Amino acid sequence: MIESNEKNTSRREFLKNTGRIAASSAVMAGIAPRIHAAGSSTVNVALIGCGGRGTGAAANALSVNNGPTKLVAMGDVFENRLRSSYANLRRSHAAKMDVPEDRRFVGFDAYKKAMDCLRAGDVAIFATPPGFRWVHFTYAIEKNLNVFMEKPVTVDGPTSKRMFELAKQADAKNLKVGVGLMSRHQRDLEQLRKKIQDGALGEIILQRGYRMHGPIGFFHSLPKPPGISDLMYQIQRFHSFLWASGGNFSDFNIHIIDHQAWMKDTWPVKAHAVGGRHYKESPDGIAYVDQNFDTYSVEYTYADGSKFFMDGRCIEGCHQIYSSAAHGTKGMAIVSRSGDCGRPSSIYTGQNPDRANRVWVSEVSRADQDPYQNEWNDLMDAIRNDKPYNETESGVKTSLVTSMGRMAAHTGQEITYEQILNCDHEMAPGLDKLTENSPAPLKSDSKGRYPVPQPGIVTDREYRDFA
Amino acid sequence: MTEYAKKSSVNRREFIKQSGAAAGAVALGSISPVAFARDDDTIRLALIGCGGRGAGAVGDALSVPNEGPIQLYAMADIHGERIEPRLAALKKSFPDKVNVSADRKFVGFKAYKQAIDILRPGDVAMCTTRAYIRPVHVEYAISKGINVFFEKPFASDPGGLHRLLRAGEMADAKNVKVAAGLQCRHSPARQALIDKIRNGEMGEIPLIRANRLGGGGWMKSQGDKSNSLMDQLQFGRIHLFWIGSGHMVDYLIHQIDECCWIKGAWPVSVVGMGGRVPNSTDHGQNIDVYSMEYTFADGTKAFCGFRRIAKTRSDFATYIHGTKCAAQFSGRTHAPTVHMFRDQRIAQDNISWTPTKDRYSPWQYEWNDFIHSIRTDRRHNEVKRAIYSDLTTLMGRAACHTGQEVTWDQIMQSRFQFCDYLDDLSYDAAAPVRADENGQFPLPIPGQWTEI
Repeated sequence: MIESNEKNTSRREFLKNTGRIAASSAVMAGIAPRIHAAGSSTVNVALIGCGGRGTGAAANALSVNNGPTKLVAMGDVFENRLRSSYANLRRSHAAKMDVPEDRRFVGFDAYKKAMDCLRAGDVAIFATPPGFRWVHFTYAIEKNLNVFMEKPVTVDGPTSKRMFELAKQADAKNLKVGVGLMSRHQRDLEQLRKKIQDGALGEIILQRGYRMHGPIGFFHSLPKPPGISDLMYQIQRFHSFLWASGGNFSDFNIHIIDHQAWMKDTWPVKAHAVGGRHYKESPDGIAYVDQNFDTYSVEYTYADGSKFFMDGRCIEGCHQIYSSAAHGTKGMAIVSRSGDCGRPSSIYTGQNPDRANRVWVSEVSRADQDPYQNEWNDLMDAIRNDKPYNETESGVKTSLVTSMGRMAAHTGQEITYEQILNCDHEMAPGLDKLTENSPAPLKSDSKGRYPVPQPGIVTDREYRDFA
Repeated sequence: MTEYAKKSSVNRREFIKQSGAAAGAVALGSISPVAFARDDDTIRLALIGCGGRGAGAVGDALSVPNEGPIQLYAMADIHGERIEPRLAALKKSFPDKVNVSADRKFVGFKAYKQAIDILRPGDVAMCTTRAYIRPVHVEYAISKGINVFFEKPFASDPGGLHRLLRAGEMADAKNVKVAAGLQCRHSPARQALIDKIRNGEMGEIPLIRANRLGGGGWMKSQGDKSNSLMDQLQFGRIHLFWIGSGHMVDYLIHQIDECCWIKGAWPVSVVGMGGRVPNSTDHGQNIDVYSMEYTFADGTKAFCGFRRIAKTRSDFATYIHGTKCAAQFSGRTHAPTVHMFRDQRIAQDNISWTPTKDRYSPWQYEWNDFIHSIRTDRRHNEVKRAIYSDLTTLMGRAACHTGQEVTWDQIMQSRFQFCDYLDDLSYDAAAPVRADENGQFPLPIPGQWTEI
């Protein structure tokens, strides 16, 4: 593996250099199960984190339009997750799967074992809770693997700095890295962005984004039941815990934040926010113990003084909005018509998105309408044709800006980009050393409650750990 | 407004001279027969509701320059003990303008009637109690042909506000002058920016931002007092919706009014959200944060934010983002902090224009204008726009409390009332809202709560 570290900087080179690889694969064979005969044009894929999103990403990886791919390894800390993911994928993609039992890994070292099954130039998919991203990325770079990593890619300042560094290392090795912020591969949004850059809206003054719906995913959690460790509970219900996911704010709102920054062609420099939480009881009257607020309203400011308002809400029975828009000096645009980046995008004269005012609507052929597939086609194209491709830095910036808004709501303070970047609160230090016997990153009190944000009281970080 | 301020310096003596002339008499006669058709030209004030805001309004009324004699003549409150200290303080500040004899101090739920009944046409009833009862008082004064100054919030619910709208129509018919406590509209500096906006100097206005974010306080359990009407009226001004509309409305209404003024329109809809902080021990009904997005018919937006949490970021200002540049419309404690900026960036080093500084506070301008209207029999009826601003604010409150989108049509049709026996209130009447056994008053839960 040390040899291949030096030599294999891209899939293309890898394919060209099959002679040398053939030699080194003997070395690989000693470390990991042998997968393919040298000279195969197949790109192998390992799935690390076998939840819904990971399974979806793997399915997309096996459906790319530009060459053969094969799923060869899977890893998770939950055996049942891995089993159902495997079964699901088998239903539609059995022909492209070669994941015998000895390449299905369960445990805190599963990520390593799964990546050990890959050859340099193959692709590792990271779809665990984002807190682990930097740990897995570090290992992938060491192994000369291309990466597809789900969003968010960081949840706090210290790990963001680490990821910026890792991004450079990946560049130095010419590794290709895709980040699951698929808006940037939604062709409708691409077309809109081009129109905006050509001046269709004039200068953008106001952007709006909404993700308001009922409680979904692991938005809230009851006190930990018996029969599962606190660590496993926190990983399982990652939306409920800031260290694991950035909370529902980060996980749910990051796509709209990302594509609005992309439309604006820069990231916000500061955030003000209000948020609240007091509607949090189960139907049985038990108070939820997670760290999330139920409402967040963030006012982001760009360097030019323009504004982006992002509203997130998870409450049953309320008005639902899930879309985004941009208002410029010459007109306005619907960016995401519905959902994270729903097509089509459209442009209107004036500030009112009435049909009569519509002057442009995006047009994309049916084959290119799935942003999740597009992002994989783009990544594999870059791998096969050695195109520059590293979305890490932009993914980290978007993750940081998302955390910036969340921190503003949780602390009640205005938070600048520099402040969130330099905030020294690493929510879960030592994740690279984690084992199943490690204490959970977040401690609960005697009633099973976890520390929650307290705006105005805890202001230098988003929550204070229980003593 | 700057020009008007100069015109208004026409002094009382000149006014009387002019009104003695045929021209003045004709002008008055064409509008109304009542204004000052009497020997004594003193404008008498009856203060109904002797709290801090009421006293402040009296101070402004007695400080109106060059508009003739004016005096505080009667006082009324449901709490008798409030009257004397307030009277003493006002006497100290305005020894020549306070003339409240013992028989003109009225106490009780009918005190407002007694105070209004001793006024003459041309005098002013100052309705400055807590908001819940304002419709009853204002309606009565107008029905008696008495001019009215009434404080915000104007009522605590849509039902009360619609009652005031009807009273406002009556005031139009009777040419009664009515001033509403949304003083910002009387600020010449703001008016100067409005003029620029109307002239197109900012282009279109896609975005207005109005924030009032500052420290606040929660209400402790009131124990045995929780469910007594008279106690609620004491502790509940800010904390109980039926009395004072809740803190967001009470504090943010001025800036929501500014947004509507800037747009020259009322919004067609609003979405909003809010909540309490996790560590809240507030036993009242308020939630700690509100965020409202108003939409106007042209698709443009006003984002209004409110927060009362100690040691959080404070911001107390209204900003405008036009297609040509941004501006500040007002600042801390409603100061006329007015600037235009070179582009969208709000910063001291980016200011492109600042109007002449206001000479008076917006509250003083409000009274100067009002008394001038009374003296010159100029039409002066702020009821409709004031109530529309309050209805707009209640749209936002409802959007945050219910979690639903609220439209202008809905609020215009709503007759929702927190208390439907306002006309029959007495010292031993039942309280309209009750705390639970822990002293906690009902909280708005989005998805469950109704107030429209």
